[in-house]
Amino acid sequence: MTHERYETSDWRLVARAQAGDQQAFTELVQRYQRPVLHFCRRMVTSHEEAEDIAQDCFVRLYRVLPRLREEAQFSTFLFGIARNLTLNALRDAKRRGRHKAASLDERPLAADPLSRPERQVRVHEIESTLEAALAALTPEHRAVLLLREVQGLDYDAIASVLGCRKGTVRSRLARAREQLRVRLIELGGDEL
Amino acid sequence: MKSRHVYDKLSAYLDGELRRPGRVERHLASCPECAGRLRQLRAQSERLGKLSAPEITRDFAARVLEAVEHEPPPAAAGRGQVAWAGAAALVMLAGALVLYRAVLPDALEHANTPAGSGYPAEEAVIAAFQDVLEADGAPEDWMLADEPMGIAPLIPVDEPVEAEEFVELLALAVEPGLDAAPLDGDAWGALADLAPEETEILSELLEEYVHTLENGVES
Repeated sequence: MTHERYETSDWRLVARAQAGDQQAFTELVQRYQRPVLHFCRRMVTSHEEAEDIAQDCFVRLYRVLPRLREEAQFSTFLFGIARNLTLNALRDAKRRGRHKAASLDERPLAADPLSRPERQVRVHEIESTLEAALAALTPEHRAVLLLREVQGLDYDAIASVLGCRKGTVRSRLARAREQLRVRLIELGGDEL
Repeated sequence: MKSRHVYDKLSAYLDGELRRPGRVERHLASCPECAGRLRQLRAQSERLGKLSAPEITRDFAARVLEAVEHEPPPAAAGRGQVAWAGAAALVMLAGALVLYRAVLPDALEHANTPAGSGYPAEEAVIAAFQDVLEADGAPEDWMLADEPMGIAPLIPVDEPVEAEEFVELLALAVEPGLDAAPLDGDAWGALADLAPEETEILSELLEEYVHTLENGVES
């Protein structure tokens, strides 16, 4: 998935929203609600929490609209908010003593295996293993992997989201991938 | 003689981010271990890209719009948030100073002197942070306003920014999701509770800061 094809009109929508056009803001929400929710859902413990955070992302976006300038991909700004909000949520959960892993939600993302033919059951197993391995990573490693592999951002865009240099993205992504590979082997899912 | 494994370069190779991929390719042709590792990384990358997206509730956008209904219109917002943004930036910068003192001196041991300033980079960084810390809120004249830093997408790298605006942008860039409430009162106290993720953010912020001081703004 890539968000680059949107960039020109994203900023046009932002300009209209800055001028008070609610429809333009609505279009931005509708355009990015799914990728933002997907990112949040893979970062935190439950679907409900992810949805609350994703909505909060857009509220925060609304608040900072006047200060937005067209200097980077719009999506990197939005994912920057999502990343910070999810890290905040994970930190708060940790303080409250909840250490539930991201994949152990009461509502797993992988489809119900009982309703699927055998081949799809295998797909479900692979996805469940991948979810468990992802959940075992540190939030920062999970974030960089999601931005790259799921959202399809390039290194420059990820650097914008994380507020770091491209070299940091490169090294952190390499470590995250290696951690994931090791976790997958431990979970018996190395034959993806 | 067989060359060394290239495990640490495979991730960037996979993304086409190596400047000289030829060396890795030559090694891969003669090293089954590295070739096998690359296959694993590629497979897991492909699987991650196919992860199911969560279902989105039909009224998601409607609920967002309902939440912003009570917000001031975008064009009228902005200045009202300076206070908390400034406080957030203060906490961030204070945290960065703590980190700086604790972690980075060794890394800066061989730091170059910034061109024209006459101060070692280390002193310049400390002075900058102390200025912010000693100021009551946003400083009147941010000492680096003439030397804008490329630390975040929201901060223009080709034009100076006003002190207040800079602090505001910095806070939003570093921590857009930061809540104002926990920052009320003792900013230093808030640092005691920094999560590792926040520490990493601050550390990277400071690294960027020092890098810019040493090398100027990259175009």
